[in-house]
Amino acid sequence: MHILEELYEMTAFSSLGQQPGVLLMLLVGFVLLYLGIAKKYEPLLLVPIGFGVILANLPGGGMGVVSADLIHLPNDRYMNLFEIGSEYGIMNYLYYALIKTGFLPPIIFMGVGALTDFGPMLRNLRLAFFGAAAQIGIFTVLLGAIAMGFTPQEAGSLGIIGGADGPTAIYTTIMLAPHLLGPIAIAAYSYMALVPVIIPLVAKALMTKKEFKINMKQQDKLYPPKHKIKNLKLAKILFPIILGVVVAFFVPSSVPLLGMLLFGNLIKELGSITSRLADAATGPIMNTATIFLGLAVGATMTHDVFLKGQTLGIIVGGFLAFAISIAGGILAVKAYNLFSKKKINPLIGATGLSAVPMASRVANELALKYDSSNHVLQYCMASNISGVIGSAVAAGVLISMLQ
Amino acid sequence: MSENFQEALTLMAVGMLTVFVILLLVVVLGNAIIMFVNRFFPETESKLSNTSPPGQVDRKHLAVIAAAVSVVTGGRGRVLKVEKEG
Repeated sequence: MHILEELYEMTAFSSLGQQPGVLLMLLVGFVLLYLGIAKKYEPLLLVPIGFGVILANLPGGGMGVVSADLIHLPNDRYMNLFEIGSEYGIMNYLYYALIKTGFLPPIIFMGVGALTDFGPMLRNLRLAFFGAAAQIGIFTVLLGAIAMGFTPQEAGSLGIIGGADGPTAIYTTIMLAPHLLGPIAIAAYSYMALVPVIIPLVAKALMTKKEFKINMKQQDKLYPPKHKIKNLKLAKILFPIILGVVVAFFVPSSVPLLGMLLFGNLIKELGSITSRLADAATGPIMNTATIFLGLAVGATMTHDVFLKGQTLGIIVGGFLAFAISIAGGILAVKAYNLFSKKKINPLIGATGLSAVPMASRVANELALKYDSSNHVLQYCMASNISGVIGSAVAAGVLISMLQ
Repeated sequence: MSENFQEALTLMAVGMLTVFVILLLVVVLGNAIIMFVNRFFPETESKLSNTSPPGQVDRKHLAVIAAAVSVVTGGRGRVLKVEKEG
């Protein structure tokens, strides 16, 4: 009998009775896995995050990320990585080495940069402004969250979900409110996966049929652009170098994200001379970073951290941030059309929030439904890519003012 | 609470203004780069046009072959000669 009791104590079953929240968190992990595997919602992120949630909540597994207070030593010192690893296990080692230091999001941004083509934006530069308008959701939700009782740091992290950019949301949250990392990352990636639902929903509520039918190519024929780019390749090489340096002077805190994005883009645009670097940035490095980011973010979602009223606030606030950002972009285009002869399809404003390239694809499909000859993809990509820059800058502002 | 709200309003104003200014910079810099490139380094059609004598591989095709070899060999390979058969 004594042996049986000891066996029972050794297994995880004894802990289940003491912590019923664990079962709920395992369910959350299974739901995330289901969404990633069966529904194919951002599987590259939701599968590692979902599995990370499961690992973190297996009783006795020691894979849950512990609060930063536990690694804080007297005299304002922190445990070193070896101490963290031996005291709290490998997941905490990974989290404190790769996530808490803010290392992985910029690394992923480097890969994103190497996958990004600034060509559509350079060809339609004035559309870049709509990437700014679509950041309004970030700051509107920040206001709302403060009214709901979130601290300014938590509200900033919640608002940045409206930037529709996973690495940016994670990086900002690490800097401002790391205890909310799990729910914010989940909300950001879930809503990005739901872009095909959210953009049509907001667009149909705010746009008329006539606006859906604004044909961008016809507008270009009626009012041709002033100048063509005579050497796009060189322009695309110079752009990340010059932009990176200039933006760094204005918003230095956006440099870790934007700098790595532009570096990634440069090694892509240089072509064969740096193609091996670009291949590494978009392949092995980005994939490895994604695995560790997903698992470690999932592991922050232990039952004692996740099962709180705040999580519900983040899920609702995140959706509002997304919807308001899309609406901000659409309304900005509508305002522009009031004063300009050359009309712009407001769907191009809707893609001003990042979520590249899915937002552009969704907007393109929506435009084609109303006019089968209205291919707006290239135009949407212009505001879509400027939205990535816009959300990284907004993150920089939040970090520098709230940290 | 009201102090936090005021801080949030300031953040909203500063944040949106900064994002607009940076994207204005993107537009201005982009246009400046395009004007610079168009003026000093235009890639005209004539540079790539078919000016090679008959019987030889034209320069456009040569450029494509050279680029393909460069990609496949990771920048280490060079095309020294391409000849048409017959």
